[in-house]
Amino acid sequence: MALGFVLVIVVALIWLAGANPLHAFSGLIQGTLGDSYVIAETLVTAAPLAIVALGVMPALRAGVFTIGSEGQLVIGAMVSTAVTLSFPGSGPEKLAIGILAGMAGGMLWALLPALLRAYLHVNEILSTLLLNYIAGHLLLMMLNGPLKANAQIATPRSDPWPAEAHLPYLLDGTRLHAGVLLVLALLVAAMIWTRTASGLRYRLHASHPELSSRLGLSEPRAVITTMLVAGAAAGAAGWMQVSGLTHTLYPSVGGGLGFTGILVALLGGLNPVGIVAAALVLGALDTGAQGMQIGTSVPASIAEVIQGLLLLAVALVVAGRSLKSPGSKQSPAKPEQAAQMKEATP
Amino acid sequence: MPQSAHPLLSAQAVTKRFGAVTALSDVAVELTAGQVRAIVGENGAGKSTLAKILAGIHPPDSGTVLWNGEPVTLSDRRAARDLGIAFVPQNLSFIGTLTLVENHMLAQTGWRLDRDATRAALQAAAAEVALDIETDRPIETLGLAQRQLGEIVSAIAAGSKVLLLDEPTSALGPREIEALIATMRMLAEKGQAIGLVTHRIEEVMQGADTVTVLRGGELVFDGETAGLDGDSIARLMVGDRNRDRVELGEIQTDWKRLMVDHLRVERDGQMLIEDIGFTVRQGEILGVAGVSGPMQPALAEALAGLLVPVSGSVKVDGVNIAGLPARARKAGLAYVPEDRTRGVVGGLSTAENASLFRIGQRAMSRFGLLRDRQAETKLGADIIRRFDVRPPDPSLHAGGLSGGNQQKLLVGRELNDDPAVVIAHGPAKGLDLSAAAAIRTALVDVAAKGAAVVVISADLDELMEICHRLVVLAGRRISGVFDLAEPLDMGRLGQAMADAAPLETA
Repeated sequence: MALGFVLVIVVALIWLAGANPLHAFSGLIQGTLGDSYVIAETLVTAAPLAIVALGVMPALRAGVFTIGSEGQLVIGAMVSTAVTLSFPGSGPEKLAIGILAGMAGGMLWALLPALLRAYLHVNEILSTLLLNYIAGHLLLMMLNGPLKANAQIATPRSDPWPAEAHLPYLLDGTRLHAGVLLVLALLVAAMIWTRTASGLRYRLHASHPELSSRLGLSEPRAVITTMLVAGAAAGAAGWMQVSGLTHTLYPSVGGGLGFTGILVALLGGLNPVGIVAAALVLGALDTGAQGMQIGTSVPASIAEVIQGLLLLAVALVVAGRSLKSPGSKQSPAKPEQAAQMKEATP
Repeated sequence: MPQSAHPLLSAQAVTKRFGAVTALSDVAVELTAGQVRAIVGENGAGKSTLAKILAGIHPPDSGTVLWNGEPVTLSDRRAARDLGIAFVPQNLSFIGTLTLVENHMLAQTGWRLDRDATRAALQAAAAEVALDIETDRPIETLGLAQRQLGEIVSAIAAGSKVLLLDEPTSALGPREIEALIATMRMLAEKGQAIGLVTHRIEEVMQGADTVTVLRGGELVFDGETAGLDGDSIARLMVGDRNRDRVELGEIQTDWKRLMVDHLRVERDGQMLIEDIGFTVRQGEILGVAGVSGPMQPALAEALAGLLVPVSGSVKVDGVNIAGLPARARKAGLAYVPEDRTRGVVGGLSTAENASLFRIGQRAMSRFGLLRDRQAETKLGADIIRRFDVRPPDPSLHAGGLSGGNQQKLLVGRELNDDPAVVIAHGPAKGLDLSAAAAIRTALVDVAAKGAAVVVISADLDELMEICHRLVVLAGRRISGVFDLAEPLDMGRLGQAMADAAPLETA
């Protein structure tokens, strides 16, 4: 039902943009699945989204609302660029050093809000959100300063990465890089984790913090671990964007991936398989919209409109579901009745 | 009953039930202009319910409320207020960010709100009872006593003839209580009828002309205060509790499995427990009684390791677990929280809830990593059967169970692994008789197997039934210790419950 609703709105928008919706949709599908090149594009667009989303999944499951992935991704890309460009090395170790540097950068950016939340109860939503802006400006500063390209170029950017620090391509003639294998590895790890006792404890932390602390998961530990995991994943995604796609650090490296990644985690129902599926859908939308723009008069930004509509639809469905099942949440349901029971109990 | 004038507001034969619980049964009360009537009783005796019926907040299930001798139906608080019945609830009702003037205007009807006229009316009402009140500062910046007086003044300014105060002194210091009682006396002299709901005997003796004593929802005494002493009121309140004892096992050893030493607990900057110490031996059930307030949850959480105490220790078999919930559980501490939704996870199956503490153990996992759902279901089904959780379906969501069955599930999980120490807070609260009996039997059984059990409860009868020993919590400390193997001195118990035991109040 919700999806049908989204579809109706999208058709209306396309019609408003002066195109035949059927042509537009065939363009969308051509742009997504038309040939191996666009399929590869879909996959590399989906990959960073999936990594960010799988990374924030434990935090969101535990009730820790970190939305700092954007900044952590930027810092990850920045630190991995600095490390890659300054340390000599060759072959696979260059890749390993790069990803580790990216993860370290992301974790570092997550550490401050994590500690503030864990020990001083500073709201993590605010602190992580604001740190995103600091990260963006820090990146600009570095690209105009220490990381500035040696060549005389007007726009700020870094030196290009050496070839041995590039992620290898998996398919000739496309940009499908080996980073998509990282998604598979993360997917398997996440699927295992959700089926362990640890996965259960973190989930309990959101609704029953006392119970999870009796099971050995204290509040500070839950907050710090999940936020660091989210930071490491976002940092790795930042490294992957440079190492796999652009090979040079630009100020636009974030490009909203961190925010969209959180959206993907929610669309995927905080469930590993669902998250990867959601990332593929959003990746396909993105590349498909480019195809649609080429064939018709519909601007590619329709993809963002559809993303927003999807999130709204999911939010409404989730809200509707929790309203319909009063059994899942008894305590806040009728405080007055509870108060009466308190007085009445002999 | 002696009668000086005809009553202004009265209730006749009122009965009120909440679900399966009868809060009031066939109770009568009369409030007369110019008199202060105290309505006293323990927790759950029904005194607040009675006041709320008089204030139009609860409709009675049967019986009548009379205004000036005429039966009236008070459909809500507004209807009562329009007659001139004001109610000041225990946790005051005014909005903290608004001033007294603004709060008073909130209750007014009509299109125009006149700030200056309202202020003048409030000040006139305050002057009538020689009070000095702050009308133009946000309520939350005032002290509790000031806020309370503000609500009283607002009621007078609204033209109330009957003033019902629900536990007005529970958060006040001794000097503020004295001032409040003086104000009440003055209001009575001006012709107000006052209903004072309280559990403190001193206030009854000092401030009330007549007293209504309730016990277990029934009227046990109605008469003048003159001629009574505090001890006899205390006896009336608690009644004779030397009955209905469960056959308890003898305590075999002197092994102190739970040792609490110099425990001080604070929450949100408020000192709740000051220097409490006690021990519980193997096989012993210790009851913690006392008028319920913020102390009981603080004590329960501190004993379970969930609340970090300011100082002091809580030792389970010699291991200090204060502030360490995971270590507490490993040391064998079982905890039944007052709010069962904190212990039962509604979104998980009954089997998962029952086997929660074993999940992830080697015997309950595959490849030492993944949860073994079959083993969980098997253990869960076993616990569900032993503690008679109905329906006995391990795959059912726990949130769908009835309250009593959720509680059985919770208690079953906690008591399953032969705990060393059990902390149970209000374990049978709000349950029907058979579920309550099942929970109490489980607690008695686990003690017989060697656990040291602490039951914190507002239900004195429950504690009398299953405990070896009773401590009474009042004024942030232990105000009395009673060995229940001997006949109970009801006067002394009433005094301890009523916070009148000789101890310095901070």
